[in-house]
Amino acid sequence: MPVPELPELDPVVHAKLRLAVLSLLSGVERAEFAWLRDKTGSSDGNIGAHLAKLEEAKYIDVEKKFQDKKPLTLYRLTPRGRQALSDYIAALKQLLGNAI
Amino acid sequence: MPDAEMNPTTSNRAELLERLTVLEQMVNEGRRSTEKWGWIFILWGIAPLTALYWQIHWPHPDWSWPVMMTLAAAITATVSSRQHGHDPKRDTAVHRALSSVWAVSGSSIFLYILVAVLSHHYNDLRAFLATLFILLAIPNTVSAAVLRWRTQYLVSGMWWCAVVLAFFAPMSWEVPIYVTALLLGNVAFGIYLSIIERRSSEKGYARA
Repeated sequence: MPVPELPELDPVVHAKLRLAVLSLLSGVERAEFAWLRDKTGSSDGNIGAHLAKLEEAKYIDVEKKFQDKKPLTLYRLTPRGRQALSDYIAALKQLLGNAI
Repeated sequence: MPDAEMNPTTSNRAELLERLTVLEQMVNEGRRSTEKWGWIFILWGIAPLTALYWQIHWPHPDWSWPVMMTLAAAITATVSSRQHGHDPKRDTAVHRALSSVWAVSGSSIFLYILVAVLSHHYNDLRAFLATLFILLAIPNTVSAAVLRWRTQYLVSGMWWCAVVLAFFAPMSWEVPIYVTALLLGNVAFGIYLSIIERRSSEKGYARA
């Protein structure tokens, strides 16, 4: 009897902080750097590194601008990022089976 | 949130369940809004009622409406900008749509009352009040439809009833209708909304 093939989890999405960021961005159009940092309880440096990896994978877009003479960095989920998150959730469901 | 790079292929069941929890928590966090709207309804209920009281009972009645409307607009602008300044933002289509509807309606009501009072051309009180009620009914109806919120449907229904009453009720009822509509539609609804917002912020969910 052939063993059903288990799905692989996308390592870019799987890191806890990156998964948190993608989940947060999935419910909004765009979000500020500070909002993402506060919601995940992360530090500037830590979340900055993970955001860079997500940007590198083209899972998120970054927009830098000025508001009231203060720099503002906004992030949004790309269609590719949304698809990656969907695939990750589907794989997670399959791996966990009846637990969810 | 501490993070460690992991090899997904070696993830055990507990780790996968942890990831699932992160997903659920963060999706809920993304929906959570810290913005408060209830106080704006209360303010825009109290300000016109105060203006009316001033017009009838206090000196310099001509100043009542311009002063109260300008004061309410200034408070709204100042407090709103402070709220935004202290709170890093997330942006949703629903939030932007509702903010736009209320901003346009609020500006229209402000200009309408100010121009009508300053020009003294509001002799037809029925038409004046009916128009004002329509300007309040429309954004409430839009909000109710977007949020699918039964309570706000009731509020918008009340404003549409006020429009009908403004035309058909006896003239002596006009001021009581105006006062009752503002007390119910703005002050009472604003208090109710503030209570909901406080509960929502404690639980971590919000409507927009």
